[in-house]
Amino acid sequence: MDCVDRRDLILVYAAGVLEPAEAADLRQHLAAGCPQCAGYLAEAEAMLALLPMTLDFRWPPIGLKQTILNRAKTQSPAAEYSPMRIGGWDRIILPAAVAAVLAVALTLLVVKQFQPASVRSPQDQKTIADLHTQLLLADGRLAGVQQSLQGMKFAELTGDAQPAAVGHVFLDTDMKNWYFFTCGMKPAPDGKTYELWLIHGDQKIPAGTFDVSGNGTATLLGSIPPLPAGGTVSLAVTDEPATGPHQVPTGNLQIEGVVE
Amino acid sequence: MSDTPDDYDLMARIERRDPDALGAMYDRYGGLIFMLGLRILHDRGEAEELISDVFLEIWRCAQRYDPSRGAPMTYLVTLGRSRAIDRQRSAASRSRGHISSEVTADMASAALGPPATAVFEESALGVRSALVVLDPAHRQAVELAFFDGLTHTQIAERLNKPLGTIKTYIRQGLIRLRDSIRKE
Repeated sequence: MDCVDRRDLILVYAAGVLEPAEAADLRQHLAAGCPQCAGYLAEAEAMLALLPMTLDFRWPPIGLKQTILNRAKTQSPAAEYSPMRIGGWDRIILPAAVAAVLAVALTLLVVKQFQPASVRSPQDQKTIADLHTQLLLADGRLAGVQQSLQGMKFAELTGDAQPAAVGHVFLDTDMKNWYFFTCGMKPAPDGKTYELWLIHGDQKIPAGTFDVSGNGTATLLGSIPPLPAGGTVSLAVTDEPATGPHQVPTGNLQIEGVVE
Repeated sequence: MSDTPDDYDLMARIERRDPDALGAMYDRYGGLIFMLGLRILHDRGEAEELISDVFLEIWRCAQRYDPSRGAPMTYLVTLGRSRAIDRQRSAASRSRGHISSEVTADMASAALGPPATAVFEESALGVRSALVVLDPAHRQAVELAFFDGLTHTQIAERLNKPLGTIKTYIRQGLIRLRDSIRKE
């Protein structure tokens, strides 16, 4: 599909009613930085933003403006937060990528190995041998980078709602940057997307939305403001309406885990 | 030459912590967000909370606005709609209140500068004209998707139409709306 064909699709996407699989493909394409499609998205959002003007006009109460301004004066700006801003990821990307290879290779290897030997084709046997090799290489690389992992924190996410899924989160020493990888997840239900949350005490910080690929994998990179010392930090994935972003989780818990 | 700052100037000043800029942005678009909140949430109290959420968020997180992605009004409406639909879906009850007659008094006494009103009226006329010429079935489906945040399946159930028909209504309705507005 070329970008001109995507223009109408982007309009439906901006309205929040594109099918999840199509929305995921489009998000991936937009995230790759296509300028033409970025322009179409801006055009679509600008058009949709005019729709409230078709409503019967109403004024808010007079005192509300001053209430908001008074509250604004007491609020300091949020610390820099960018779910997808990338920088200084070396310490995270390498071990996380190795872990990703391990996770996918292990999954495939288990599936292949549990086939009865009598029905394994020569191709399957070759695949099993290749996967064994990948695991050994990945394991070796992981051992090699373990020296650089001192101070990093990890979490493994699992859940009853997605028994076949596992998520891994790597956080750097100051817990400012993190990398999330998951595999084995089912696609989100119609009209929904998955969202990762960082939980510290009563705070539930949105950490990005994602849709899984055809083989049930997804990755996210992000940064968060420094958290206060002490207390448990955990992560959770819920299914949320596709019309994001969201301030609080409202969907069903999928997988969760505590930062070690 | 007008001394009235444009919306981009106001957002830049909000990022620099200028409360007057926040107040000016509220004067321009507070009403629009309120209308949107009333339509989606059907509750005056919830709509007022929505306005607070939206304007306090742009105050606290002004750095999230990227001028290259679109106009400040688009950003505000997109943010407002998203927050409103989140509220709608997590609300324990709906339609607790009704729109009272005191709104008329508010409208008479609220201050809104002439430049914002003129721009608003021109844009409103354009989109209203475009919406009026839409096929009623397409218009209804688009409104249920945009203002009520319903999925295709939910709209199909509500209108008792096949899913494929609803997908076509929404897609064609949005495309025709876009093309009509561009001709204005």
